[in-house]
Amino acid sequence: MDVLLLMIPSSIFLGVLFLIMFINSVYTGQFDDIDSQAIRILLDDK
Amino acid sequence: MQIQKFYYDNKIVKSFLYATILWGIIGFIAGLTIALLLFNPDIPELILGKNLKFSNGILGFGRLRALHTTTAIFAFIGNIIFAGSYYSLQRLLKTRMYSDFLSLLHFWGWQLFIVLSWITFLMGINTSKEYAEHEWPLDIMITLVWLIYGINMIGTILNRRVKHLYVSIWFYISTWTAMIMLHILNNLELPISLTSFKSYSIYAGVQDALIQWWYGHNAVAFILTTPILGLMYYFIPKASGKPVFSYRLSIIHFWSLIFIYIWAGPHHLIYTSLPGWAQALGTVFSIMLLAPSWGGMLNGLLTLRGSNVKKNPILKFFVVSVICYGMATFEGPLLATKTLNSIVHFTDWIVAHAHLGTLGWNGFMTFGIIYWLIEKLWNTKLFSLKLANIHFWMGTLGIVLYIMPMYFGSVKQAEILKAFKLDGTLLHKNFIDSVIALKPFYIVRFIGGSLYLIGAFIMIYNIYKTIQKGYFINNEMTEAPTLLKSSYHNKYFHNLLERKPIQMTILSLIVVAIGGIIEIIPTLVIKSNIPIIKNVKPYTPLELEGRDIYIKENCNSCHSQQIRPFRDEVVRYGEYSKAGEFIYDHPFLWGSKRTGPDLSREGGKNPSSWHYKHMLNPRSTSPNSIMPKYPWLIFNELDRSNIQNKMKTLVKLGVPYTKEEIKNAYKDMDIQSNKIVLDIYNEATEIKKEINIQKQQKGSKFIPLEKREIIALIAYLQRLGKDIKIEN
Ligand code: HEC
Repeated sequence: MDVLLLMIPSSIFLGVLFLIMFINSVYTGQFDDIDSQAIRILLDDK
Repeated sequence: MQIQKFYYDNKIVKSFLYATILWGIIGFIAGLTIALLLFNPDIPELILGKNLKFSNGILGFGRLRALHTTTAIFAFIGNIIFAGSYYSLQRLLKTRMYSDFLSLLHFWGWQLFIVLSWITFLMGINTSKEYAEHEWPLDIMITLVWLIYGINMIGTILNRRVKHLYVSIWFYISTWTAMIMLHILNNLELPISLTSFKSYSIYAGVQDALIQWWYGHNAVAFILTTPILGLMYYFIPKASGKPVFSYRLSIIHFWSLIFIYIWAGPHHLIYTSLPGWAQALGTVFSIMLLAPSWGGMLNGLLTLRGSNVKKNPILKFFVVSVICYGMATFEGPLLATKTLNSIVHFTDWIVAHAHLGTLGWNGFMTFGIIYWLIEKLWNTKLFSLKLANIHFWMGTLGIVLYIMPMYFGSVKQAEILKAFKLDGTLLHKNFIDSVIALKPFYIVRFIGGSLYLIGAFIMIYNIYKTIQKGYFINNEMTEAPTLLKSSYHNKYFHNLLERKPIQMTILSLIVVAIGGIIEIIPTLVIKSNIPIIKNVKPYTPLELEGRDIYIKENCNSCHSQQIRPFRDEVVRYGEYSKAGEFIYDHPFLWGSKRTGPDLSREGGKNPSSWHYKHMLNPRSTSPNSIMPKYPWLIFNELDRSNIQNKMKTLVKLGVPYTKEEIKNAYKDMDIQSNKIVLDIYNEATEIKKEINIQKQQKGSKFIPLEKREIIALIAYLQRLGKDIKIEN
């Protein structure tokens, strides 16, 4: 079952990648002001 | 703050929208065709008449089945993902798409890939791996187009005028990232030569099965779920005029979903030769998936709470879509439990489950988005709400009529196949009993599918009329304040991330990763530690060619080659399958559904002349069979020219053919085919007579039976399961 040596690390790699993206987005303030964002998308355009 | 004027690219959204509709219709028709073939197997003959044997199988069930799934998944759903993401990305980020050129390249590249899929599949060029049937040149093409999409998306994100990335965008990014990885890893294959489309998966047997379903499951996750959720979180609020019920929940939904989804793949292989712990892992993660899925479903439904759903057909589509998402994600974990899986795996239940997701969740979300976008982009109202309502009701009824009979039919099939008499023998020895019992359900399913298609045609008329009264703006002017870089540019590695070089970095990273993967994987895969069964030998050259015909015709779309350790299966088919039996199978051919019986112990079960007659006309040997006729295999000459290349390629993948064997391949094939033909002639003199008549009629154009494709296929069928068969 050597193929697991490929699948498990690549699954973990993807997970870690997403985790880094997540932590980065927390630090850059993506989630500071969450509630207004849901409304903002309705305001734009026509 | 400075206000900037810029233009949204609506034209590219329009292109993807048209492509969605066109391919949707084609995909539905392909699906209906194969649904029809399941109770009318002689339709191809009705159309082609005596020419069927010259058709090279262009209307073969297996090929059309692969076309149906590819068109529905990659063309219909694929194009709406692109249309929806190109529309929403620009508005959410307040910028035009990064590059018009890349957008166009993406659009035409993707459509070309679909067209080429049609051409190659109809010609029988495919790998047999579900949803990844494309041969290697197309796989490379998909990778390139996908890269273009990624660059265009990331470029747009970097150019944005809004700091916050709305949750939909996270869904798009994860879709892109996961798919490129899964696509590449599952499609690693070695071409037999650079001028040939034919390749062999670098993985064999159990390993190939595992990686295939890791991919297959996640194609469902990252093409049919995450991007559609991204669209849901944008278009439902837009269409209802209400913000998401809980934005916080949507973010939790996203992160928990993507972390869990990737591990659930082995639930496609429960009770197979896969190691038990891997199966258990799949089950556990599948059950865990219920939580985020239902969180997301409730979030979608609650967003629509209080909107006037009754008056607005677009919202109706969304409501049913989200409900289907809830139902399918509830059903999924149940099917991943051993109890339910033991009964309905390999039956039509799985087909029903898949169509609850695709027709309901994906299809209805798509229709809702199409209607909404048409109104927006053409600056008008729908031509007829009434027609949209009719479409909605026909579609809904279509889904019900599709999935309900499939549920009942699958239970019925399990009941028939698992029934024993008091004396311990099978109540229904002949598999055909279950086939006959299913026919009425297939007919109702076809009616359901037809309603769904008619609904889609009504939509097209409605859209046509709507477009006529509206006007379209290719480049829509808008304004937004520039994003003050300093406002968010002080934190950690953001400076580094935000500058343009990131595109180059990501690109090179991917290139490096691909290089690394290509280097590492073969070494990993070849030294397999699967228990070796001494008797299991590589296929002979003729059997190998036969196996490639089996792949070409996609026989695995109706036949499994995996006997599960249940009493009824072992009594019906023979000894249950062991992992060690498959070590030379590039690719694996376990199949996912038993429309016909399992074939893994077929060798020696029926005489070769029986197979000959059966392939020519299954109804002649098995009355009421729904298996297609394969007359072209009986008339076509076997193309032997590649056999040595094929063997050499397999040697590279770890199949122990000796130099001697490769050198003698042709001689070997002659000996084996002569013997089979001799058997056939001895068993059935009428075949001998028929071939002799052909010989006299055709003269110099006559192809001896020994040289034809059918003999290779029979050689393969007669080999199946022979290695570990205990002769008595
Ligand atoms: C549309 C589904 C379908 C496809 C595609 C299909 N089969 Fe079948 N097959 C059946 C059904 C149903 C039966 C059972 C009735 C019968 O014997 O014809 C069957 C029976 C068989 C049997 C007899 C098994 C036994 O032991 O009774 C063989 C062998 C077989 N198929 C081989 C093939 C091969 C080889 C291909 C591809 C070239 C193929 N089938 C494609 C549906 C299919």
